[in-house]
Amino acid sequence: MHFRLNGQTADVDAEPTEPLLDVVRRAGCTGPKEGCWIGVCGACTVIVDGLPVSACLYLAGMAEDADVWTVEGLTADDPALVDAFADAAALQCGFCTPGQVTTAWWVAHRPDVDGGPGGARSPGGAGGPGGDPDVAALMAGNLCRCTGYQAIRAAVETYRAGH
Amino acid sequence: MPATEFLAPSTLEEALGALGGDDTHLLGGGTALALLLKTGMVEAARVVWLGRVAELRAITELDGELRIGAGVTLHTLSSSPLVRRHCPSLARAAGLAANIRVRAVATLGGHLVHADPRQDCPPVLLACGATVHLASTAGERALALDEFLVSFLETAILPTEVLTYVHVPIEPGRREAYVRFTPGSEDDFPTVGAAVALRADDAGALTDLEIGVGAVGARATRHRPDPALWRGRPCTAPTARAIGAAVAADVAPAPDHRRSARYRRHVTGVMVERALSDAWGAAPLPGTATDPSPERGAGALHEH
Ligand SMILES: Cc1cc2nc3c(=O)[nH]c(=O)nc-3n(C[C@H](O)[C@H](O)[C@H](O)COP(=O)(O)OP(=O)(O)OC[C@H]3O[C@@H](n4cnc5c(N)ncnc54)[C@H](O)[C@@H]3O)c2cc1C
Ligand code: FES
Ligand code: FES
Repeated sequence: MHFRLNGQTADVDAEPTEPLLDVVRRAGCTGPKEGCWIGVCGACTVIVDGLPVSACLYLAGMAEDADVWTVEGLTADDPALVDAFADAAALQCGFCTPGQVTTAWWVAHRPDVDGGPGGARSPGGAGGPGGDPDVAALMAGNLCRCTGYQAIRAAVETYRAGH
Repeated sequence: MPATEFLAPSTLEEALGALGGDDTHLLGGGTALALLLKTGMVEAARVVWLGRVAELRAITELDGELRIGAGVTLHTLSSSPLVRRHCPSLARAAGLAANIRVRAVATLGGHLVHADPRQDCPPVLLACGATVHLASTAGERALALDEFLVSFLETAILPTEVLTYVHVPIEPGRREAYVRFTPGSEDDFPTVGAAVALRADDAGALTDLEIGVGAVGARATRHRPDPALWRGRPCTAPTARAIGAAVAADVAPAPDHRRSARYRRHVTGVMVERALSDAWGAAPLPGTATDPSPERGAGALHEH
């Protein structure tokens, strides 16, 4: 299959019905991890065409010609993303961290999120007056078994504030 | 096992032509199907992905209805200005479902055909009177969503059909709301989801009322409580409570490993009452104290 991986053209052997996670890991991007295998934990998060997806459930065939970014590319592009997590001590074992960092990138870079002003998760609800998109609501679904969420939240808030 | 054939047609016609063979599966976003394939619960000789069929990814306003393509993702649904204006409770339900990684890829078509009763959009679409449009090489048909949903993971769709569009009537004056109760984490499936669509006359009396409930029984259900309870009255707190009780009596809760039937029935009444309160207006219901009564506080909802 043919797609863009972290800004580079990638031509790899892949079954269209295998998970994209296996494909990017074989291509050398082992940041995304297999945690739950069923779309719940977020350890496998990658960005496809600007939005985070669970690569464990994303069939490779759907990524043909797509623009795929993993934690490797996002952090090489913007080291502030790593600094924010390191400075806030927002990790312990680190297993969930690539997914947290990847979703954090989306939280900071995408204003069109459904938690954004007027979005379903904002205080006013859909169509309502809106409010500040809440980091916790946007990050919901990236699970961490170690640290608790306060430090992660602080890291994402710091990173977002710099953008 | 031979490799699965993966097709990505760019027109509906091509997609329809690819259906009908043994073990052929349509693919929307794959958040349900990928899991079934990975676990081996489904074996596929051919997968037909609809993601490249542009016409199925559009949301338009057509003859007084919202026409939503089956390939529209939950994320797009929740952020669409058209949907937010004409069916805000649908935008809300789509934006509350799961996590962003699921919403980014899950499609409305896959959502409805998968027919997991815990899903968030069906109760809203039932309350708002949505119609599901189906196409095959033999022609087209339309079904009310209430007829389309059959039971747990079961709908009226045929293996040769594609769900193409969902139509939602646009009714100025409709007031609507969707609420869900998730005692686990925020991104979990709801224990109960309740949707309300209502209309009132100039004097502030209820004239129409439709209710949808999800996550309680084997499928999402539509409820029209006895008009004697509400027609011609304002939606006061006692009225909302009576309506909630009527719907709670009407549901057929399926107990599972997560919640008992009695508990689900109780929470149904509470959630319908809350949805009525939200739909009636941002201000508290007439007659409701501003501080939450015990029935309205989540503290009263412990599982026993
Ligand atoms: C971790 C996780 C959490 C979730 N939490 C929630 C939640 O809180 N609330 C909620 O509502 N849902 C939740 N879901 C379920 C989610 O809504 C569904 O998985 C999703 O909507 C299915 O859409 P899809 O496009 O991915 O379907 P697919 O997996 O692509 O398809 C599902 C089924 O529909 C068929 N199909 C797809 N498109 C069409 C079509 N156009 N015509 C005919 N048949 C079609 C497929 O053949 C398949 O049988 C969750 C899912 C996951 C993985
Ligand atoms: S491994 Fe993909 S979401 Fe957990
Ligand atoms: S740091 Fe260990 S799981 Fe999050």
